[in-house]
Amino acid sequence: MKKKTLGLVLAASSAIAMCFGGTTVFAEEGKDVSELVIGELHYSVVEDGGWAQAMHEGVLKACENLGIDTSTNLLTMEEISEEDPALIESAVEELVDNGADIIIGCSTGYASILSELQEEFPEVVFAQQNNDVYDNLVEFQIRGYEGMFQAGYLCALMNEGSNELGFEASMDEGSVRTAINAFALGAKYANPDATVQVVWADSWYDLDIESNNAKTLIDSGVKYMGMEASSPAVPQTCEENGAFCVGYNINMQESAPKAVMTSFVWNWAPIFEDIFQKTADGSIDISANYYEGGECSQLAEFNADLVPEDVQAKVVEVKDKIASGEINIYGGEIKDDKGNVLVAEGETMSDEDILAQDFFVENVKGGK
Amino acid sequence: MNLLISLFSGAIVYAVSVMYAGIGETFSERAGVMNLGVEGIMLMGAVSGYITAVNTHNLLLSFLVVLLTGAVFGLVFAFLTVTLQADQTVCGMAMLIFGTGLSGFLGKDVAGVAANLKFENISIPLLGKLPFLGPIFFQQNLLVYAMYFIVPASLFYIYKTKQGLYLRALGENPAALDSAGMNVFAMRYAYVTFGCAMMAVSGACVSLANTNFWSSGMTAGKGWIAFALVAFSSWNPFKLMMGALLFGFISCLGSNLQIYLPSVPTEIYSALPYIATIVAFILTTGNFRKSHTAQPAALCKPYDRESR
Amino acid sequence: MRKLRLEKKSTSSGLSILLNSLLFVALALVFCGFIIGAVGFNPLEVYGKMFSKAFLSSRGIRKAIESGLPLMLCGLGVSVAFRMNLNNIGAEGQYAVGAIFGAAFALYGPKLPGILGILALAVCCFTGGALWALLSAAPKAFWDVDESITTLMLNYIALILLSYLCLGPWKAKGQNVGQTEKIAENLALPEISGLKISTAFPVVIVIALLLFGFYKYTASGYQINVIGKSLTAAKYAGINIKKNIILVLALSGGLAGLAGFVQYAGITGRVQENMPNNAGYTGIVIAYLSRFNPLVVIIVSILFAGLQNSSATVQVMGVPAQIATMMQGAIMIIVIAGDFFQRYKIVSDKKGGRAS
Repeated sequence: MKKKTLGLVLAASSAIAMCFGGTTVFAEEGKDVSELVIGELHYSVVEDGGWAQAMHEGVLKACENLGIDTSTNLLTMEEISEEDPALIESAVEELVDNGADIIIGCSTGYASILSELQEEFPEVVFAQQNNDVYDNLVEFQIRGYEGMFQAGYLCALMNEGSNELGFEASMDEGSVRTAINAFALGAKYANPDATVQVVWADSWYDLDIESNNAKTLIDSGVKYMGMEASSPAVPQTCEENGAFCVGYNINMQESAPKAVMTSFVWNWAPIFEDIFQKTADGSIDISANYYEGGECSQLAEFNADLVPEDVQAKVVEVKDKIASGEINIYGGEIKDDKGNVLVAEGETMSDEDILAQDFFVENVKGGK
Repeated sequence: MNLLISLFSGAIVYAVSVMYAGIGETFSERAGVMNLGVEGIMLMGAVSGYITAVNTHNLLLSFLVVLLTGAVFGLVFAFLTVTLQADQTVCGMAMLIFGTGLSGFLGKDVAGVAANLKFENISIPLLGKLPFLGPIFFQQNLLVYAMYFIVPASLFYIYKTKQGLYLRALGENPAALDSAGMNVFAMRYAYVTFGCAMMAVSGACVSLANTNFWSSGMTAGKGWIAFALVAFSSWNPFKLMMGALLFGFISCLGSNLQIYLPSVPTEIYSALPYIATIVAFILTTGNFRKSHTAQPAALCKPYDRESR
Repeated sequence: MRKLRLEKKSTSSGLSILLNSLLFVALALVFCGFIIGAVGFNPLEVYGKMFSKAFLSSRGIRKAIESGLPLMLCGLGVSVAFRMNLNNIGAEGQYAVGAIFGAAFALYGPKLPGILGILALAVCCFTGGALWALLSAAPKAFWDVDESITTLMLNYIALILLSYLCLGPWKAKGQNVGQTEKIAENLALPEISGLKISTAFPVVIVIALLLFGFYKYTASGYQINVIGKSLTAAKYAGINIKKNIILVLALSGGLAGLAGFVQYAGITGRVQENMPNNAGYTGIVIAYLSRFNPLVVIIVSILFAGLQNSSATVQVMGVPAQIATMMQGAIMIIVIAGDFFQRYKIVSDKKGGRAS
């Protein structure tokens, strides 16, 4: 696992330990991992068919692998609004009262409040899905661009005889830009002339707009598209109109078996496993930062009816090349959609810039 | 040409999914009962239909369950607002909150489960083959076709039948109806229940026609649009249809403009349907026009025999 | 034969209203107890924990007040309009625009010393909400365009604007969520020392008291009540309806805009992409349940927020989150239904009397 320089991290965490008047910031040592009590905070219900569900399944899988009984040791808090600090505080207090050793903020909006609450509950480990912003939170993030690159590559391979691909995007946020750019870079890797037309919903969740946007793309001649949306509305619209797409968040094949070639899925389990294990044995470092790719950022199994085996093999080959470092997704030269050089030949973009994504790559059309 | 076809057919699909609720609300408000809980009842319709579809694979049965769920909510709402004369605004909001919570709870087991059962698009023989008009009007699903009849039928009912005359009086001057020996309470019960059943059908449009899945809160504000369109239409089903089509057309247009007119921030396109509705609403209902229609005089006023 | 029938009560005292409300809250709890029992939990245990956590501990009350602050101002704003029979469903959008104006002041406004900065921030938020409400008030006053539709539609536009700004030009550096930079220290509302409650709370109480006085003791407040009771009577009395529509909706929107102020300067310190989060709609419910009495709005808001926060308590016991939402709806429905018995009493009629 890629980590920041360990020395720095240790120095920072011991500095924090000092700030709290010598109280230890590490969980008590030597607890058996199966006795770990885990709390998770979700902004919606966990069966949302999207983000929260992927995150919750990751927690469940990690628990299963570590022998944690989820019926007793997993406390799930749903519908905890990110805009209401007092509600978040209530939820955290409840979790702590019920013996939670670790609390996971499953959406970025909890970060600032959890960081404040960590000072109040130094004995609890707070893990937060976020970029590396706070020193007292275990922050984790997935290199979503690795899987999205494969998705774009797949679509461009399938899109024989045309250069036009589509993308249905929700809101203009860093993570969404990451998905779009990676998709476009992957498409370009397969076909140097491939372009990606983006259509925005400007909403995190609106079925009508998502369907409309997919329909618009199809009408403009797009046959293969990627998506960053939380519902099967886009896949089902594709299915009705004879187009194809790569699902998002969770495996969407069942919702539209004739249109979903595969899905980009978040696999949080390996990260959680590591965090849980370290929390239990007391070796967790609360300023740690996870930014994982590889098995965490994957495509779900291919839809064999839609994707020929030779194409499948090619995508798997790309996946292996990303893992081995042979393909450097953010290696130069990369230009943005206005023609400026973002990364010069022979250089690689820094993780900070990858996370911030205030650009669109060259072959994206309709960026903001 | 293709672009126009898809704009118009998209507008129709959108419009129909809010019009069931809109027509339901129209009848309810015509009868003097305002129902703000549209969204909650739509969600109940969506979830009950989808659960039945997953478990029975019977579309007709699912549809009946949707109607029944809506009707049950309607009876409760009517009991509160008509019999107990409770405040309609709060009751509506309470139904909204209750329906949202209950639908989320009931739907836990079918979230993410594929039903693979929905109102499929059916091309009508001959008519479906017409150039231009065919793909717009006659390659739609059953719920859309039903709406082609519901609009003229409800217009006829409201403006041309005796019952329709009573309905209008119910919202304007219930005391007069009461004096004429009509049962004001029973009539209001009937229209409120009918209205809620129609709202539930709007929910079914979402989970069993336009898309085919369930997720908590999936109507995402559609109920409020339906509610707004009713006042927009001055309680007239034809104008309601025009309003819904306008709204649907502009939101479809917005996503096309993103491709063909990319220099404008997309947020402007997203706001366009709402801006257009406001402007059209001011232009059509402002009292600088001669045919200015006011809301039913007895709307939101519980009928109380003793203070007649 | 004895027959039961209903008879209208002539008056009802404040005490009987209170007792009646309490009685029906209790009934609502019994009803919800059945729901909780039906999903397999012990209602007494659930209630016991909810109340002790949410209302019987100082922490719980503090959090209920904190969550309740924006609800109070939305509730106050909505009730000003509803008193005059103006259906302002737009508190949500007015709140958002208030927050937008506040953030704009924090970003681009002049640096003012001490309390002046905070006052200017509050004035900006108020103005934002008021201007947004005026977009509905003007068509209503001049062309009699129904305000419920325009305020509702303007909510959507305001929220699109808010999320555009928070995710776009105003987004905080290094964050990947839609929110602005932390508010400057001199603009933030401090906490009351020792109590850990934001000074926004006494400010809101003062606003409520001022409103109470405004309704009761001023000519304009009286006029609003008259217009609310009967438009025709108001016209005969020579009250300027147009002017009142504009003023009242502006005041109503301004108060909702202040919700943006307390949330921004007193609680979150940042303006967020989805900041109002339905507070504007909840405000409508609160206004009605409080019968538009500004002081009752404060109490009902705190109760509402406490109930909301107790969803955490309920969930940790294993009860699904949606049950907490359902309970809110059920309690509202039953309390509203109980209002009926405020106005009527059941009397038994010995002679059979007239049927009703």
